[in-house]
Amino acid sequence: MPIYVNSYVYLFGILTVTSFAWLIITGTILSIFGPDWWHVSAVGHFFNSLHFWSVQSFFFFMILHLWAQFFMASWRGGRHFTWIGGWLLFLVSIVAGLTGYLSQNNFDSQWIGVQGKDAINSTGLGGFFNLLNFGQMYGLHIFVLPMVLIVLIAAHLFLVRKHGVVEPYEDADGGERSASENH
Amino acid sequence: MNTQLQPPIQPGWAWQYSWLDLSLADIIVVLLMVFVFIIALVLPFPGGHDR
Repeated sequence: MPIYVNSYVYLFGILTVTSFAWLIITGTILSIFGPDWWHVSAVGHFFNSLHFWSVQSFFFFMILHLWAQFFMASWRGGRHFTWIGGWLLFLVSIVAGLTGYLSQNNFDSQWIGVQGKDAINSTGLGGFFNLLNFGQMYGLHIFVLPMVLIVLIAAHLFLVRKHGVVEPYEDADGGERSASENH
Repeated sequence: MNTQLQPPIQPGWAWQYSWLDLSLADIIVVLLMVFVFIIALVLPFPGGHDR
């Protein structure tokens, strides 16, 4: 790896992927046992909490990854599809997060469904995307959206491997410096 | 005994400025993200100096 990646800033991407792996693991266990399990039993509560905190760290590190890549202008050098793919991942993740909130099967999810349906209806998407339809939201959340995310992450990682990490900006004197030498 | 039905969701405090509406949890998370970002930039990376 090039010397300029010697900085903690470059770990935000892999931390996002790690959080996603935890989401898949805990989500699979939650889907096997179902809502009455994750709301009632102690072990169910535990995995419900793991899933919740995994999504917190998923978005936390995704945003930090976005900030880092923005300030590096990481779309340079033919990496535009890596950048666009990252945005696509962010947007699909938001929909995955919304359908996750709606899949909780508690007062929160009912409240969000009832309030959110008006927003979706105002866009004209209500006929296809019904926030009050638990089966549709749950199916999207545990199958369709994770599959889309897996494909997009695979493409994103492939592009990062193909093009490599973006080079740092040049200094005023024309030389490069590593991120770890900036302080 | 209080027999009145209690609303299950308590919104809690939020900072409101014009169109902006940030809950305390939102503010904490944003500050934490800024903090972690700065720390990640400033903290020396292990093995980064001897190469």
